[in-house]
Amino acid sequence: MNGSAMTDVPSSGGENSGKERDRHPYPSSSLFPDLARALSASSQLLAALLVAGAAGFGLDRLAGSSPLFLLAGIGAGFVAGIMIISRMLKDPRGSSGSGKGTERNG
Amino acid sequence: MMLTGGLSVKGPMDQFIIYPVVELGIGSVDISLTNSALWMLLATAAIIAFFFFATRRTSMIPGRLQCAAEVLYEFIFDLVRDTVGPEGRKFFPYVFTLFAFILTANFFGMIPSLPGLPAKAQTFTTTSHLVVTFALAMISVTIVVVYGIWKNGAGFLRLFAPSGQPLPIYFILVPVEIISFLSRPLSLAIRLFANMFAGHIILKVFAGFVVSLSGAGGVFALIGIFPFLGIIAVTLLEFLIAVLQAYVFAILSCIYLADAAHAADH
Repeated sequence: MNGSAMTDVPSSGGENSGKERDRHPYPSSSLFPDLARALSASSQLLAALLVAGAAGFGLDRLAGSSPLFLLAGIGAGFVAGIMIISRMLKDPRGSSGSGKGTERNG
Repeated sequence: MMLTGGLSVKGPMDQFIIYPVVELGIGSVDISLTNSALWMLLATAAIIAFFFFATRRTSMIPGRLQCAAEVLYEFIFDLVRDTVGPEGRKFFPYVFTLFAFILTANFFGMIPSLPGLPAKAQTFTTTSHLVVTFALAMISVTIVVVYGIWKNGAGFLRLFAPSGQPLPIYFILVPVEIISFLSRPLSLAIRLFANMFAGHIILKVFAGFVVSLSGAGGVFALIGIFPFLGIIAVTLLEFLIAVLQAYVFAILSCIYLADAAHAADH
């Protein structure tokens, strides 16, 4: 958590990117992306739950096995939601597991 | 509508009602210009006007307008470059349009309506409707899917099975990845919609308190100052949210585009 706020500002960018940063008056510091991440966490969890729950509900309707798939879907959605959030915390640039976009930066 | 102390006050949900402004139709299909569509058009027109005037007389020493336009441009340009990488350049126009539209639509929603105007002439927050934000989210996700498949072919599916895991893990990982991918448009849409929707309701509810309390008179009218201060605070917060949500939408679209661009490397 400590380092994640800092990785947004390229630390290994050398003098070139340092100069570039100086030109920008917008809040490129840690606050803006951090706030953005904090605000997006809840809806990620909610959306994962809704999607998996809806998929489970649909499967139940098809198979007539209510509420088996619905419960399984909600469980899977919760797991997926938690995984999305934990990834997002690890990788400040987002939910992608690889973090390739971040490394390109330096 | 509720009546409070002789003043007619609109309920907090009335601001989200869609009215036809210009009634149009092809046969039985209703294609009326609604207040939602009108405010989307106004937002688009405002963006075009802003960049037209900002770039009309470009100079080495920029004026205020040009400066503002350049800051916006560089902000999004850096965002796209840092997130997607050099190949993200081709997505810059899209992300920039997206950001500018959401930002302007959010800001237009912050313009207070003049009292006494007919309902369809009042300001309207287009981004407070799930259908609008979901459409925007689906545009982003469609671009991600089409570009991902065009660039990586079947390799795009590696997004759902990141390499380097032991085999049994995949039985859990793949469904989770699929759920996480499918939830993207929904989470993009819900986030923007819920923030704008909730913020505008809170403003209206606080405003209702002020009217009710001042209508009650006496000590209550004095207490009415507190919800009024609350309105000021929430309005300021809403301006922050308006910018932040536009930024979040843009950066998440970029992250998803980066995923599509690098799907085969997973």
